[in-house]
Amino acid sequence: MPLAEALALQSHGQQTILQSASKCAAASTSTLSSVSPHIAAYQPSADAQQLRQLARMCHQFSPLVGIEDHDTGSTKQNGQLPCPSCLYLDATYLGDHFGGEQQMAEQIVHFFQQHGYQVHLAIADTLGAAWAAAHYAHQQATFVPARHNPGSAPLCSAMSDGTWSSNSSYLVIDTAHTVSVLHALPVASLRISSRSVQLLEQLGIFTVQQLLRLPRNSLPSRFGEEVLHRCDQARGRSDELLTPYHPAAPFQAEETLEHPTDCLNLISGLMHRVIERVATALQAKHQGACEWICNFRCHPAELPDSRESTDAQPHTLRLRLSQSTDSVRHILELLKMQLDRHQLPGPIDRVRLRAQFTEPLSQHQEQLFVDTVISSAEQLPQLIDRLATRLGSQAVVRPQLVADFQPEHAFFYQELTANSDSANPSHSSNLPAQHPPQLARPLFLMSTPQPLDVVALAHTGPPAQIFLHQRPFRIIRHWGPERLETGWWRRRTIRRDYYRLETGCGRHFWVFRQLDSNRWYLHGLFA
Amino acid sequence: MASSEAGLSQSPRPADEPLIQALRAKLRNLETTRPDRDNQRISSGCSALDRLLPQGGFCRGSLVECLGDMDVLGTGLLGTGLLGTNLPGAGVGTFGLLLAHQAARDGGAIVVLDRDRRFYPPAADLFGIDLHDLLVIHPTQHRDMLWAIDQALRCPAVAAVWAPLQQLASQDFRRLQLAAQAGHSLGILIRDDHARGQPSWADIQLLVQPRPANTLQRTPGRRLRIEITRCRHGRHDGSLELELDESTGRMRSLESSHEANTLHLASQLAHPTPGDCSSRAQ
Repeated sequence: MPLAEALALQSHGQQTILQSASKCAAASTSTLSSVSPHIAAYQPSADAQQLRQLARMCHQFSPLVGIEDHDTGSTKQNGQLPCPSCLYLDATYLGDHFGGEQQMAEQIVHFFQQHGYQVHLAIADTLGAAWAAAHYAHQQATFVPARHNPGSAPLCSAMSDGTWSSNSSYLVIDTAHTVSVLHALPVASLRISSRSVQLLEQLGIFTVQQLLRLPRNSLPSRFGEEVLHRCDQARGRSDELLTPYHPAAPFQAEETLEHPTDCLNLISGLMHRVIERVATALQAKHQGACEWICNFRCHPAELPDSRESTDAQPHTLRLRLSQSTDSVRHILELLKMQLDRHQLPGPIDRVRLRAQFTEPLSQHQEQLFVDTVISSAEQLPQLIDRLATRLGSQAVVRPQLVADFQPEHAFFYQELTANSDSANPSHSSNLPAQHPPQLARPLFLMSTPQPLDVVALAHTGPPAQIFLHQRPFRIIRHWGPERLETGWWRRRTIRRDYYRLETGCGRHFWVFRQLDSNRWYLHGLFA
Repeated sequence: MASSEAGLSQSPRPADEPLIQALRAKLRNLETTRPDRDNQRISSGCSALDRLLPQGGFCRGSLVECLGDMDVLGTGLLGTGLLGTNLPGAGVGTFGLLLAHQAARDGGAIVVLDRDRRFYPPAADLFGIDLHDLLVIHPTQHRDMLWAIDQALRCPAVAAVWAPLQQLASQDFRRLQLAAQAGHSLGILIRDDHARGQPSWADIQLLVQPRPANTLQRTPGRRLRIEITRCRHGRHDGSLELELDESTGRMRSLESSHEANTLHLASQLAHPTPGDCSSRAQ
């Protein structure tokens, strides 16, 4: 591709990204910024966690809130189940509390907009109809081309059977119009597998109405039980249960003293007790946590001339671990390590510990002497936790290669503790290095290439002599050039000829000539 | 007296070799608290270098000092104009990392201490190191660096720790040696050659020096001279030249190939043998 064309594509691509980022922000990001798009990697676990939090918040609208699961929602894509992205709210008899179902829908949509989300909401008699309308009613025109849908009613008339508000992104469907709304929707709105959707579309069946015109008895034998079952669920002929989501009680414990103390032994004892209580609760459910938050209530020392007593201040220690654990010894060691490095503002009278981001631990055989023997699988994560606690999570990293020819961008460092921003980054970590295997890379790379004075026999040839700190070095061997022209999508094209040089005393350097300016730089050391 | 001196200078008879080996093993056991087990040996990856080492390799649970012109490693002076006559690119860091790779062949992680944030992981990948088993630590202070080395050495899941260190007090050195013993891991300390002659708690101290290669050679290998400058359990007068291929991470001795390919003309002319003559005639 010519460079000018690539640069033009780059500027066009940035505009496209801006638009798509604002459209997709509802599903993948928590905040919507119209100034600069925030493009982040898709993290299924973070999405699921956020959806659970939204479900918890939606209990203000309905006592029964469910999260879409793989059995009741989400059409399979490419044979894989996508992450749930839908919430169910039981709105039975609740409309009157909000002044009507339409007002209820408006309030829910407004609630999500306040939190930076764009939602598509539908209220219908059945879970299937509500799911179908919420997912496909707003985009039906693109899913049902007119030429493939000659017999069905136009979109606007179909939607006029319900109360459609395109501005507010919600749809309230009357009982009498449920079936007619469903008729206009594509077959994929029935929550059937992508294989069934493809099969139906190959047969020219694009809408639910076309599907329902087929003889009912023939559906299971031709398309499997799933299609008929989903049709019945959407029309209310078959029951579908809403599994309510009940947020688990937080794993936390606290200890309170009658009088504030700054005795470290006493504070350590308190911490040990709360850790034991939280760990016992976690062990009872075979779970571990990868984030532990210890909160102290401190009473700052009063000044001698101050007559007013100072208010208690919270002081928080936060542990982010490389993997979930329920080990009392390990958590206590890390908290003590953090406590040693933090100055408490004053004596404390309360310690509260909360375990977050819990997950099931792998089953292991019970030990006779609990917590005294560390298995080999736990040793490295515990080392990482110790190092990250003292040095910071950014200081304990694992390199990952990136398929990028530019040496500076050929790898990135992945933090190893939980919830760090660089965990699961957008780079693909399993990509092989792109440089040919016979070309060596230096052990040390300068973050910024250093200008180098050279003497070259030919204008575009390798150096015959280089000067390091004004000291000349004769070059006896060289390998290269290795030409790298890349990075145009970063708005700064790199055009370099790399050489590996060996000096007369046997030292090896990695230098390059900038093709644009014809200047030489030292970039790496074969140290 | 003269006869006893003459006896000392003579090499031991082959029949006495097992006895000498047994006495050396006893001395080793007296000098160290570490149990002597065969599975503690780590090959250097080069058989000629292994033969040079007193125990046929490096011991797990010990420290190895690699000395070289590594001023840039610990100080980061390159580019600031403060770098003196010592220059980098000498190959000692690469040699040390290859030892760490050898130590991790049977499993375990490699921990790299990179205070200056100049370590370039694609080079390690070329050596064949699995980056999933590589942990890079970026301490900002010297005491944090020592603490991190100590913690990593004590961890049994770590096979080797690679750390460039300029300054190392004797008590810190001893602490690291005890940590390596406790964790059964190999600590590879990359140090400037100014550390030669200073007190050391390393089992083996190697001086790594670059050597210019044959200018006709087009392979990407480089030559290094490895000299054992200190050794806890044996003689330390050995040295050899290695060729190190940084695109594959392989090392090979130049001594054997040198001996095999070189004709010692003077000695052969001085002591001609019929066999040689006949072979040349053919």
